[in-house]
Amino acid sequence: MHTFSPRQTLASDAGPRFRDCLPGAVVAALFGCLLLAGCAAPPPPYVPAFEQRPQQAHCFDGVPHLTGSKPWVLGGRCCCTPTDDLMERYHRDGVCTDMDVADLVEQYHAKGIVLATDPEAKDPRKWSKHVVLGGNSLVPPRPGTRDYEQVITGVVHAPPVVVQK
Amino acid sequence: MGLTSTFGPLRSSGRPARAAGIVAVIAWVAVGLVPSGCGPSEEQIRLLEAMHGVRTNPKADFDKAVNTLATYREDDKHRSEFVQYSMCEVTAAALGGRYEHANTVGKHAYMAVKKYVDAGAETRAAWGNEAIKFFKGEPHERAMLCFYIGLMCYIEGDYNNARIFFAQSLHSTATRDEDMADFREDFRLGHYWLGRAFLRLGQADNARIAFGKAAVSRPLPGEEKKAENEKAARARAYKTQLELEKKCYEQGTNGKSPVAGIVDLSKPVSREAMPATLAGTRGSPPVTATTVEAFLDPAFQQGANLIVLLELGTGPLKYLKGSSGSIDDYRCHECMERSVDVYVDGVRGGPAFVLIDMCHQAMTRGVKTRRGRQVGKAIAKEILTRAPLVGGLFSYWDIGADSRFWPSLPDRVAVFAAQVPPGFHDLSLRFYDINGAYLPRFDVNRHYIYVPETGERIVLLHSVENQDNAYILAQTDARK
Repeated sequence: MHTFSPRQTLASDAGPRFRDCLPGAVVAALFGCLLLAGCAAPPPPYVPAFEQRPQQAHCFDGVPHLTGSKPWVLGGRCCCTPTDDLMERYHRDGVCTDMDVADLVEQYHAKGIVLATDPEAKDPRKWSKHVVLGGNSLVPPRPGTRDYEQVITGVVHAPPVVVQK
Repeated sequence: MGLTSTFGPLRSSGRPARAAGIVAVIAWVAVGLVPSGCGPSEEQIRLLEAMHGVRTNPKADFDKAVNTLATYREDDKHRSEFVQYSMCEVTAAALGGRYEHANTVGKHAYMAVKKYVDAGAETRAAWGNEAIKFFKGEPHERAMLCFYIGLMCYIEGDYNNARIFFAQSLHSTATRDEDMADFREDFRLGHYWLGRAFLRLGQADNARIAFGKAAVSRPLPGEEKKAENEKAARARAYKTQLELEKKCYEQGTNGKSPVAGIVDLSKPVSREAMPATLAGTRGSPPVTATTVEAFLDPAFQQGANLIVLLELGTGPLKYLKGSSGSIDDYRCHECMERSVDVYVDGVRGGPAFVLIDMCHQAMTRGVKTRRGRQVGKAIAKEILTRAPLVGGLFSYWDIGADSRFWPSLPDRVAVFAAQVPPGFHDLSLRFYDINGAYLPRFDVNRHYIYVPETGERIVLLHSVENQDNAYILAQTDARK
């Protein structure tokens, strides 16, 4: 049928164009639906960090001294800054009886450990993490921080060590 | 000769096809470069992590962030951003427990805000791009800087300086713009800590006045309606979240590699249904306050010896809008966690009271003066670029607003106070969304918090999703 109507011409032209667009429109709509409705990934598994209250593993400045514990530098659990009072406690517990404060400080410094009383302790850029966490600092961590939790409990949730073959 | 006829012969000769091919190849190479190595550098990523990531990353390395920011702060190339980097460094140091460092850096930044003047840059910024001037922060940012310095002084027992800086935080946040005059006195966090500093200094009357001011909340008109919309949106999101948690648990238990110790978080739990005691309870109920009035009672505050300062979410985001980015504005982050209950030794102590909403602060500091200038510049540029002959020149006029801000501020700050016997205590935090639905992924548990015989213990904590998720903590970082 022949017609001079421009409307007819437009309508007949629009048919194939719409059909051309249809697959693309369907794919786009599917993507849109997936994004909106169910394409979100589930969150990572949740494993509570602590099943029960952990034991106290270390002592340091600001918390009571663990009775009978040896200084960290001698393989013990005490990370307190050496002072006269602390040496008295050690001696009373039969620990480090042949040492005084200066000897203990020297032992720490000989191993490159920064004490809370050292001038370097004021600038956190000059020391690394706490000795318990593998660093070189004996500066006590602050309550509430992750470092405090890890140092006092000795529990560190770290990635597994991969052994290179 | 019309355009069509000009292009006609070219098309037939094949040159445009070659040109189009070259353009296509260049475009593909450019597109390929973006994912394969033309993105942000390692340095930029490190800076971004130090500025933003400290508050959102459950495994944030605060010491690394402090080091990165200190390097930028001290670099003369970034002199205009000295205060911005210092502010971010204060956050990183405070969250990492480096209180002395936060104090020192914060005080330097405070002095720079007070003393540094570059009249030339200020004038150029007034006429052109505002970001060329020395960054001093918005009123709410300066108030938080003073608050952090005051808090660090308070923790160190320097109560007089703490009082001065808490008072300074109130001065900093008091806008001079008349459009927000009603909100000049609404920095409740500053009033609260000023009250505590007064108590420590033995000024009970001043403390009572400060606590009284801390009790006054000034919501913006329309905030209730906004909250209703947020509640509805959050209820829908919570439903989806539970479905995803179910999927996560199924994959973690029945998948190819089952996860040991995985917990099912797909059951909805409301705040009312939360237990009064947690498993392994080992203490008696602490003396706490259940209402804001009781919490801000000077007698209660005098006896409270365990103060937990909780920072929730991430603060507002500054962005540019308008033609040529000439207007700055703030947008709030949609933080899930809105309220929190604190358990002491496994016994529910009560809620932590939200004393500041940073988004509210950012929105209510008054922008009348600045906005007038920004809009004036934008209109002038629009008119001048349409001027005959010289209009093109004015299109180069840079009238961009200042997009710099303190990205690591919290969204809300809440405070919990309790009277507990001296010794070790465990703290457990349980967070809830705007509808009071429990958010187990935000759980925080801290053990052996030592409360001394005399004085008090201040604990600074912040909320991050998966902060106590052993699975996440034990994951190797993809990027080192």
